[in-house]
Amino acid sequence: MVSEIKQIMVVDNHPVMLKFMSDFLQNKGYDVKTASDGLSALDLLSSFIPDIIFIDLVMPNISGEKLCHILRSRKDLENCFIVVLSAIMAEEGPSFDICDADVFIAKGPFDKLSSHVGQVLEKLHQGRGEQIKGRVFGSEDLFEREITNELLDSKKHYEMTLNHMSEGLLELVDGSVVVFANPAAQSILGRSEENLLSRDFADLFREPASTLLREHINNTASTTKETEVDELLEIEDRLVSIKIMPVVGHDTRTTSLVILRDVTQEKQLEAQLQRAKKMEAVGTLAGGVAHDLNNVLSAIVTYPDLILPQLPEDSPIRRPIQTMRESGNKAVAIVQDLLTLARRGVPTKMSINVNRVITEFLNSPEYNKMKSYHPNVEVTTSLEAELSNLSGSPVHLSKAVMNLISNAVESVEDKGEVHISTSNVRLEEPITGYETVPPGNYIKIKVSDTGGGISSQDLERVFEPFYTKKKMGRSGTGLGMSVVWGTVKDHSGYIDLKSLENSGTSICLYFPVHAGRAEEGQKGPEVSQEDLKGNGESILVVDDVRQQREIAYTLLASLGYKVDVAPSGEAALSHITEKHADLVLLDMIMDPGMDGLQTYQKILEISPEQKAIIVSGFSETPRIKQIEKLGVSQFLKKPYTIKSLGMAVKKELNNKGQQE
Amino acid sequence: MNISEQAERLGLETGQYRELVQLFVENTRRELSEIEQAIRENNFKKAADLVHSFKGAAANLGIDDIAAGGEKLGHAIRNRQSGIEQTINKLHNDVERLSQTI
Repeated sequence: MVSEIKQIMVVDNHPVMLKFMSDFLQNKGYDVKTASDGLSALDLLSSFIPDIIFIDLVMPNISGEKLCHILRSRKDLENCFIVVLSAIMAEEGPSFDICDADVFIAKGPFDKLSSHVGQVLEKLHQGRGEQIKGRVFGSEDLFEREITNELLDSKKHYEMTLNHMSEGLLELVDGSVVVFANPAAQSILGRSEENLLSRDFADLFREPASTLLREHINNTASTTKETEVDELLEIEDRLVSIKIMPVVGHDTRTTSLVILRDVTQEKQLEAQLQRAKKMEAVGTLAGGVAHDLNNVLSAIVTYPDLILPQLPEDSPIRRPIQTMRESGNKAVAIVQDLLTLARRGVPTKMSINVNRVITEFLNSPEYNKMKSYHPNVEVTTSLEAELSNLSGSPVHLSKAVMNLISNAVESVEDKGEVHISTSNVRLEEPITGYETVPPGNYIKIKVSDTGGGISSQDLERVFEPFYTKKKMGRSGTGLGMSVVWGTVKDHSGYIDLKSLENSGTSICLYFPVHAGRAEEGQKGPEVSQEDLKGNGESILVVDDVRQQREIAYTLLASLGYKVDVAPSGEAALSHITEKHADLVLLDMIMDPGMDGLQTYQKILEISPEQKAIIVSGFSETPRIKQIEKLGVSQFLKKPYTIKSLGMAVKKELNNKGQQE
Repeated sequence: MNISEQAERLGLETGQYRELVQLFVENTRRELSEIEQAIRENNFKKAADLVHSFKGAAANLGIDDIAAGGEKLGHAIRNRQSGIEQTINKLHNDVERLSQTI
């Protein structure tokens, strides 16, 4: 507490009061400075640190109450004794919770006032300031006035609202000086109250936001119309929308109210939603196209298998036909990617160890070929030894991993590094980045590179199909990142992507942990066409597309089966009624008439043990699941090759004995 | 009003008191016209604040008739009552009379 008192400041907007107080105090030998409002007081306080400050409660611009609050937040004034002089105190009754002053003196006739001020000074000189803290001097002298309890009640009501609203509210005076900031404003701006009060609001922002804001504040003042800053402004990594409203006071200086709304999360969610919607639409489109393409491609990928064995070794058309087959297979790969996007492509899930998927790719011929184009890129790994398993499709996951690693390697222009890591992570808090990753246990795959990075505009679109910056024809289908997206979504995972232009990219995939042991890959030994040969078993091919029936017929006949064909489910039924078939090769989607499921159900009524293989362009649909429940274990994806068809047929025919 | 008696009552010297009253008169003349202006503009908040200002100063100086007039005017403004104009006119007269006495 103050023991030696020399300097005193008086802040009051009435000249009579100021003159009285300064005369009175100067006569007692104090160094007195006066200010007629809060702002001038703040100016003065930059060069004059008083031991006592007398403040009027009702003043324009900054009220006495706010001024007290600002002074209390200043370190250099912590020893300053604050006395509030007010007539209104008597009207409201002493209410210390609304003001940070040490002592209150009710204004009254000057004789009473000087006596109260004298008492306060005396106590302070005795070093007994503590004794009078919180006291109200002079309220007993004032005649009863209309008690403005209602006013007080509504004040408390407003205070509660201000303290609990989610929007930040600031009051600015004299341009941009902050005289009030509610708790929400403090948290949005990331600053404490003391750090905000009496600071310039526009200065809190970086250029050019700062200038823009100042212009808006000035415009608001001159037009007395409320304005909304048309851009979202960034402060401390947050995006805020700002609305400025003028408050017409009885003073030439205008006060403005600023409403801040933190829209950071809103904007992020909006972007995420848009991205998800776009991918969904693209996926649907891609799926539709892919299904039709599958049928069209069948002829291109299967006939070469039939033609080539019949050609002499030195035939001049051997090479063109091989090229045709290779191109066909490339087209099939694109279609498979498209199907992944359509989200209909997830086959039966199995437990997978991602480390194995990564190492398998790093040892594959595809990887070695790709790496040979980029000899100066160093690829390193740090794989978590005890990595949890995830549940999914190894084919799709390895495609996703392959695409990520290839992209990373290819993004490095000349010399650089690519690092691949896996880890088990437990998220207690959600990660809000490219996507919001909710809390939980995850397997995290991180691929980072020191390549050229992705610009912020491109970042929004990297997962879109055919949005590629690569040289056409060199690599990929233009669907690499889309496949990554589709795969992650199909596995209920999340993607976080960080990239800065010229300083590399890092992509993290988060997959939910699956409790189960990893299953070994199902790669069988190489089979020759001889192994696929049948022994004259009878097979009924059911397909509504003539071309498909022809392909199946030709392939199966060349493998030594006895083949019949039916162009619809109905035709298949009448065939089965008349003639036994060891196996039915059944197309799932047929139009018009019965589809594969309905046909199989009817066939079972006639021949309850009938073995069948289901053929479809799509991997898994609810109808295929249903047909699996009926006992069909073999499912063949179009377009099939002589090998895939031959193996499926062999397996199914051999199965027969085991099942009975 | 007797200036020297009043000064003595407030524990002030006559000269000092006269100066304060002079300041009060000048300020209140201005404030009263600002109050009229504010009321014409329906800015009752501003008017009430201005009333609060001169009413307080009048009470400080022991000028009870003006303090009481201010009280009445403040009440009328807060409740948007009739008779505001007459009250202001009376206050103008009181202020001018006060000006004469000094």
